[in-house]
Amino acid sequence: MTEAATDDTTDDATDDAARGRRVRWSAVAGTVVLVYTLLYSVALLDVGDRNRFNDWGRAMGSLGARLVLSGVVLAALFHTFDGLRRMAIDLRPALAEQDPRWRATVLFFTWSLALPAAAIILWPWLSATTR
Amino acid sequence: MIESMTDATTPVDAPPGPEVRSWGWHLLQLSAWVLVVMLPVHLAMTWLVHDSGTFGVAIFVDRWRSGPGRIFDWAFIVLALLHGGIGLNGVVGPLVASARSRTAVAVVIGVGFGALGLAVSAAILRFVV
Repeated sequence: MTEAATDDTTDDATDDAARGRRVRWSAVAGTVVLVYTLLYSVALLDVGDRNRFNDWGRAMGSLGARLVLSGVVLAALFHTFDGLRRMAIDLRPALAEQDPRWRATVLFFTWSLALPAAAIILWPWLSATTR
Repeated sequence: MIESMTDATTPVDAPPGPEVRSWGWHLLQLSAWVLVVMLPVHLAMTWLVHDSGTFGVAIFVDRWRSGPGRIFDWAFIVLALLHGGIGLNGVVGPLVASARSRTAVAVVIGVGFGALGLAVSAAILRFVV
């Protein structure tokens, strides 16, 4: 996902690389949530046509769709908590002094909610397959 | 997105004045605060309460029978498209060199997302339970 800095012996290069990594993950999460919103909106356009809309629903039961959905939930949670961190720092700039701690908190809450959510989404497929 | 009030006539050693935020920035912030609550509720109601394999019209018939459920789904989609459109413009706009091209990008995103928002609003609000 990230390109290594050409001169990794300097602190600046390391800082830039680290900053690049952070920016890219938040951009990836935002893009995933945006694509989900667009697809969900396009799907809802068909809600009046029950047969066609239910075709979307049937596709959501496959393992691939469940894995994608788990990724969407992960991205949405990260985008939400990271956005909260940014807005909190924007309101109170003094909070930026402990930014590494806030970033760790964002990751903790993201994963602690995303993993149970993924289990809930995947469990019916696993249960039906192993029955 | 953040425009400084200082201009060419401001002395270099003048204290920085208050920042002027664009209306897009304010809309982005406002929609973000609302979506912080709505997005987890939407994900839970749509994909976690029900098995995703049962996703279909029946779920929306149940949910949209009550007015608040339908209003929630409509408001969520409209706010998410608004937030996404402004965010996308904030990411793509600075990548474009000329001011005219930036305006064109903003118009294309605005018209595209606006049209989708109107169409999906019609689909949600006109759906007969």
